[in-house]
Amino acid sequence: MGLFRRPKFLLAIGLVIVSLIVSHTILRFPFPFISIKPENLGKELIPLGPIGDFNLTNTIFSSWVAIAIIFILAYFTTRKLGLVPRGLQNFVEAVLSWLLGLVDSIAGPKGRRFFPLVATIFIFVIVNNWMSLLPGFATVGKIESAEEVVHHVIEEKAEEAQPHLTIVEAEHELEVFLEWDEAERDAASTEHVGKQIYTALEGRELHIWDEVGTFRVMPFAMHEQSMTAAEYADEYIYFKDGHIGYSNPEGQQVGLLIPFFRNANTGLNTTLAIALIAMFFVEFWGIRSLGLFRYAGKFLNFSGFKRGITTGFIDFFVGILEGISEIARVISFTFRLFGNMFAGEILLFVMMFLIPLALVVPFYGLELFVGFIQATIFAVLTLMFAAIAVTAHGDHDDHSEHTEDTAHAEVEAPVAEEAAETTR
Amino acid sequence: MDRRQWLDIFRLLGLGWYVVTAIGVGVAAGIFIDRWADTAPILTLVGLGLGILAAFWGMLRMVSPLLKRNNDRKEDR
Repeated sequence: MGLFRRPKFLLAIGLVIVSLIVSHTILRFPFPFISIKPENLGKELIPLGPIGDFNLTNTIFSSWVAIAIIFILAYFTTRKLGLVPRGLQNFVEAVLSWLLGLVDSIAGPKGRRFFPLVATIFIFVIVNNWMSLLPGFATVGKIESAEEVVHHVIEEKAEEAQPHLTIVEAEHELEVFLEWDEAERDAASTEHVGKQIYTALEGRELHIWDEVGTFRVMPFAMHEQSMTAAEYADEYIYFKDGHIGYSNPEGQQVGLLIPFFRNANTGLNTTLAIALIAMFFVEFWGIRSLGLFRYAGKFLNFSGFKRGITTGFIDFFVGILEGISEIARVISFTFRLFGNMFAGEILLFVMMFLIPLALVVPFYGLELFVGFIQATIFAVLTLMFAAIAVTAHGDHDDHSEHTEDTAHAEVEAPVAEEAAETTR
Repeated sequence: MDRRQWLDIFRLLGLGWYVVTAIGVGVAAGIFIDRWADTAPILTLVGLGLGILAAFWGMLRMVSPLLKRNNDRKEDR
């Protein structure tokens, strides 16, 4: 093997081995708790009257920070506008003209009305994605104490198993006693829930900090600074006078880190919200340029029945397929962005855990790239769907033949594109 | 590569998720209606079929301009 004789290759392998050893001895980084649900920053939900309860999660908080950054950037850019752009203005103008070129080349000059939405989506998504690569994201936060973690796990699992049960108390060995609301106590089911709770607790790794406090940074380069929630429960939860009590190891604090900042796009709520806004505007533009009935005719298409039963059924079926694909678009928007960003965050966590400092750097580069790609895909697809929605595709009234119409549809989009190309 | 080709790349990058979700939406709707109307597993299967068709149809809609352009280019040669 010639590869093994090359000094550079051997050096690289040596570096990887050394950094592996170093990372598991000196620079030990704990594996963070990964939750798909954005973590709640407040202790309680904030009631908002008739709308429901407001849950201040770290993703919402970070999206506010992103909005603030965009506002500040816009303010300082537009404060001193020059005819010849310099500095910040130059940068922002370059970004916007790139976006404008994107819009022009897909939707043509008529597509400029899509520009505000498309540019907003792009900028919001990319600022959120890139911001999450800054230090402080996912590593600085408040502590959810071990007793809160144990309590939440018990509550969650018991509720999952028996929604109509209320928890009375959890005893020493985590054997959970549940009181039935109406039905009689079922020993087997109680034991089952207890086992589920114990497995869940074993899966939760808690961090240990050497000082007691509320705000903490992720422990880094420390030895053996973690224990599972089950270990904690076995050792520090006691049962006295019919009440459950919690204690902490001397001078230390055990718990989970709830980061203040987390990429807003790693929460399904944000991505779903952007997707719904995008599709709302797509439908709105479609209705405005085609009229409500012509636009609805795309999905509930009865016009084909004039030309015979078979054609009618085919057209109607195609309309239903259009409807399904419209719904699928919203969901694919949501999960594409969420999946990519969430996977990226976990990738960084895992790399940081495996080989801290050394291996994580190229993956930061990758995430920079992925953040840009995802923002662009979101913007480009929104634009494309908007461009499709405003063209009169699927409108069968003007044509006598179904085959002719589909041929027309296949031709129309490239024609619009060619028109766009000539203006470019 | 010119801008047009980049745009095509972004367009195609978005396709995979679309196909997955179209099928997922069909099946989920089928299961949901099945539970509500107690007709399992007929509507789940119908939903699966509709989802697959919708995935294919939507994919065709998104790809056909690109295919058309490619064919035109071949004819030009």
